[in-house]
Amino acid sequence: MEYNEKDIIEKCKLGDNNAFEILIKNYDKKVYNMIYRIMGNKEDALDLTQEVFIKVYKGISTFRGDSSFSTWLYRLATNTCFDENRKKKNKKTHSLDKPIETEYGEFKRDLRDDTYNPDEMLIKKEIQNLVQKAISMLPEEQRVMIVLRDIQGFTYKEISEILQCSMGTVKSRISRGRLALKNILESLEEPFFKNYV
Amino acid sequence: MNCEEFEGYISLYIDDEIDDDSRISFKNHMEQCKECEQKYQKVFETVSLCRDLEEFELPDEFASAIIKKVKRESPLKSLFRSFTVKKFYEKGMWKAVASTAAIIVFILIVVSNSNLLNYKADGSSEAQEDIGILSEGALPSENTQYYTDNVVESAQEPGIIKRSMPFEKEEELLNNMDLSNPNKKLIRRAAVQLEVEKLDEKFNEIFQTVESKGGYVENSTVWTSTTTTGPQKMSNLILRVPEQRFDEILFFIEKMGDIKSKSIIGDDKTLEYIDLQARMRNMELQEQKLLGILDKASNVQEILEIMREVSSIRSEIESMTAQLKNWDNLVQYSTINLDMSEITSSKKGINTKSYEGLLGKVSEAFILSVNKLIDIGALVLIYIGSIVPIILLIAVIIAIIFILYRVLTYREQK
Repeated sequence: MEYNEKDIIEKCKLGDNNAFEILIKNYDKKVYNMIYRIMGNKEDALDLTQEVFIKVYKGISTFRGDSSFSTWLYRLATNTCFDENRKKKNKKTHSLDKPIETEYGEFKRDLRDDTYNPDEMLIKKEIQNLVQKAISMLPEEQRVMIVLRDIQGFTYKEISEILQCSMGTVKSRISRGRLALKNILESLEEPFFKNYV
Repeated sequence: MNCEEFEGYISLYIDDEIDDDSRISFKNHMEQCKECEQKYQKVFETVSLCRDLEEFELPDEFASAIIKKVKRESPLKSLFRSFTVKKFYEKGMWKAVASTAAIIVFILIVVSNSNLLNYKADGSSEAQEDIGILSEGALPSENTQYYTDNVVESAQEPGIIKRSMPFEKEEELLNNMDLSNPNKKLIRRAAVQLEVEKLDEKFNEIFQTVESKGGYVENSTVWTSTTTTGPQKMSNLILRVPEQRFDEILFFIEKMGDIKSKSIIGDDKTLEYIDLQARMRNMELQEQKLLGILDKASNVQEILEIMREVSSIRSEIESMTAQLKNWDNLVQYSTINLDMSEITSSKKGINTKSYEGLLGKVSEAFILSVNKLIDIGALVLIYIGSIVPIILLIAVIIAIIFILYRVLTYREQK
């Protein structure tokens, strides 16, 4: 079955659940990974991804096609993340506990994996965890930029549409975000850049 | 390009969002400055680290799980979801609700204090609070029923003199009629409607004055009536005053407040009185004669017949005497029917009189609109007051729906 987004969206508006399932399958991975990188926590990411798609289901009748559907969807996703972060600020104990728990959980899984994984793989995973940790340390506005630009690969224009801000803002935030991320990675105990410089 | 500027261009250079001129000077600077080149390399490396981050898979059943969840969601529920209590707190809606509640309570207090809740559009319903009949036994006590009968009767009779405004002329006329012939049997009745401030005080004052002048109160009622402007005290007095003091007392009463209406009825009973007296004298003569015949009667049958005749004449004489006595009473004691209603002084607003000239007119206009505003404000308060119960009812219904919804969703989550 050929994927025709316009048709699918029209069907969704009429309440066709099969069409909606196709729509979810098309986007869920991207949304989930994006949310995970912003939130730095897989459990939260799963819940929020679900929340986003439920919001899409409820709000799709209000989607008029002024922007592309993906832009609308990612805007919804980022806003959902911002809302969640705002809530977490209000209950600080949670925000301190949760990342540690997940960090621990992932670490556990890596240990299990290493029995049959080669060393290189292990190093790569460790590096990835550290990069994620560093991203999580960025301020929210810069973190979102790094996620959208460098992880998800959106263009500057797309980012400005998703976040509804000017190109200038996007440029300066990406620039500051990358420099900040570089500084965080440098400050970590692992000598990240030695191999590459 | 210096090192500081260079830093700002690193990202743009990596993403190729840089203009040609800047790109050239960027490259030039990188060749000259080792430190900056290193910085560029590190940023570039950071970016590629991010790009290399692996993507995670979602559980297989993710999409179908959402569909399941969405299916359970009825349209009514999704409507409610936007009003859940959680959001209610998060969005700070409780502040708005609390302040609304406070305003409603405040209005309620204000309205109930000013008794505006008793408001009824037509003002017809009256909460009667009967103080009771205060009938003084100074004279052969009057029967109210009899009194009213008499009114009906006299209203049909031709000798009636009934006039309304203007008050003064009418009074003069009645006075002349009365004084011209001392034997005249004139029954005088007055009905006066007054608007007074401080009804209770006036009420007692009238009471005392009437008694000190030799009159008495036949009937008195005080009650509270609900009108558009709130509760209003009202009273009805039926006064009997000596005929000679009638004008004096009437004048005194009229000074108590604003006259709304006044009527004086003079019912001339002279001819009927004389007629009745004559008939009575005839009857008495007849009785005397019959009694004479009775002495001469020979047999029992005659005696019985005469006795029957005598007793019927006697009873007629008696009723005539009662009628004459009653007329005497009505003539001696004139009746004043006084209705008083209380008006509050605030209703009058600020007095606009005694302003002259342009400045006076301006201030008069100002005061007039202030008075209007006061009236409108009162009306608005009344209106709000009448709406409050409805609002409360709606609030209760909404609260019940909320609670029901919460209970339902809670169970579902379990």
